[in-house]
Amino acid sequence: MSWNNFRTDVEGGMVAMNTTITGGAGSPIHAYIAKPDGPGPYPGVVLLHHVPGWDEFYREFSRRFAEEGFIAVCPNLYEKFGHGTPDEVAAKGRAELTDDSVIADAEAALNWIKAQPNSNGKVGVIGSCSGGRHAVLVASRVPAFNAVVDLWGGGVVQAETTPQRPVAPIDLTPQLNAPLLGLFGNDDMGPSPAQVDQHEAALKEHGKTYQFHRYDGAGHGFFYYQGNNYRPQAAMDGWNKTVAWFNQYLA
Amino acid sequence: MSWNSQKTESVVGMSVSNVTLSGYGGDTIHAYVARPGGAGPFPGVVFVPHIGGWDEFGREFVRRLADHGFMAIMPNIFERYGQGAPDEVAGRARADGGLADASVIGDAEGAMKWLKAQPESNGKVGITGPCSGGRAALLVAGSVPGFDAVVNLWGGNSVQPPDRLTEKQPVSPHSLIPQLAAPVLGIFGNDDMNPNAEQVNQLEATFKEYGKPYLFHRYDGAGHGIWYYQGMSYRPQAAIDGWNHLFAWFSQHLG
Repeated sequence: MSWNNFRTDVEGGMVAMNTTITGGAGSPIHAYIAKPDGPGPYPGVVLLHHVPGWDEFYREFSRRFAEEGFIAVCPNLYEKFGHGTPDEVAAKGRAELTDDSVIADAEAALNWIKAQPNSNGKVGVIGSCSGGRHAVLVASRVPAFNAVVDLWGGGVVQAETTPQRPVAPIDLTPQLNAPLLGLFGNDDMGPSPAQVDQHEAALKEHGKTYQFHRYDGAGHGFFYYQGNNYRPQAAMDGWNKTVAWFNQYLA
Repeated sequence: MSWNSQKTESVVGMSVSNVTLSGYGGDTIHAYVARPGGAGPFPGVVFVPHIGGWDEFGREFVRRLADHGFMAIMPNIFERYGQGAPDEVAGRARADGGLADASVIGDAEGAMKWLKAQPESNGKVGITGPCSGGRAALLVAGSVPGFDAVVNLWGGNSVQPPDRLTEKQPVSPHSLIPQLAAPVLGIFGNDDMNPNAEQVNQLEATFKEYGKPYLFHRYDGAGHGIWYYQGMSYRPQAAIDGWNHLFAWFSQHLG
């Protein structure tokens, strides 16, 4: 359903929790969970936060998914870097976070959702910025994800590898197992339109199900209402497309 | 606490539900409620929806308040116009000449009493709303005892000229300032046409005249609807700054 198109007489409750789940490394990690307050069955969404951390934007994003009838789980990918304000934690974690750790935590979040009695057994993954790259990566590594949304993920096309990021997600396109929605701003520098073209070409080459939307007058981070990159029309349109995509593939 | 400044280990969840309560004239109305996780006690906030309806913006507003430790409620002041999509229901109210002030006051009072009756209430309740809801916040707090703080978000007609008073809106909210017991935070855009800068000046002059506590923030480069991220009137920096002033105001006066 598109934003603000609910009916006023439909029950709209939800429960949100800051809880712990078993992370990919086997130890507890925090996760922000928002889920509709009903018997379900509901599809699930794993949210992979961006470089600025496990923050209030992602809590609000999680609750918006719950409002639309998804069990939303946002794992704290920076758990091992300690606690504090999101900015403080991100300062410690941003350079050290490894792809393997993200993949493992995303899979743990997926398993948590599937173990819920009101799960419908289908789970998507979404992220923005570095989280968009991670979403593509995770959907290529973990076959159990049923849909993926990449919000302007920089580094899907990756110039050079590092110990933390040993593989460019574009090189895993043959293994991508979930239909991919990509939302991009045409003024973005990372990913640039040329990189988005490259990614699109790889998806075509391997016959993958995907849909890309590219917004004029938008750069990086156009959903981020906390900053000047915000673009209201692109953000609302992109959100509605995100919900439609997950509804289509996670029903 | 400012937006996005909670420490990762102290983030709390919330429970959100539609409840029913007794509104104006004893009518049963719906209300959207978000309660912070934990035992409390929590201060309460009544959010009066704008003319756009009992909508998703209001739901997200209420949930943001709960994330910051307020038990927040949005009464469905459009209840008498039936059910449907928020736009449809609000459209029916507008076609009928809008809501009567008495009805909005009664519904907001019912929401305030509902909050105070909750076991986790700390006994204090603030009121806020955008646009027509901002006007209503001032009107309600000036008409009904029991509110401890007000945040008026660009409420048009907060100063309502005599020739614009109607049967449904018989009183200008600013005329109630002499009996107002709650301190008022005002957030305004300097490019707004309603209230325009001159009307905000008039409102401010009334607070000064009666020695009532108030704080106004006026944003350059912002018009009406500064916080509406669903539309082009949104101004990210003014919105986040304004939200942080709201959190501070309610924390100060409802703590």
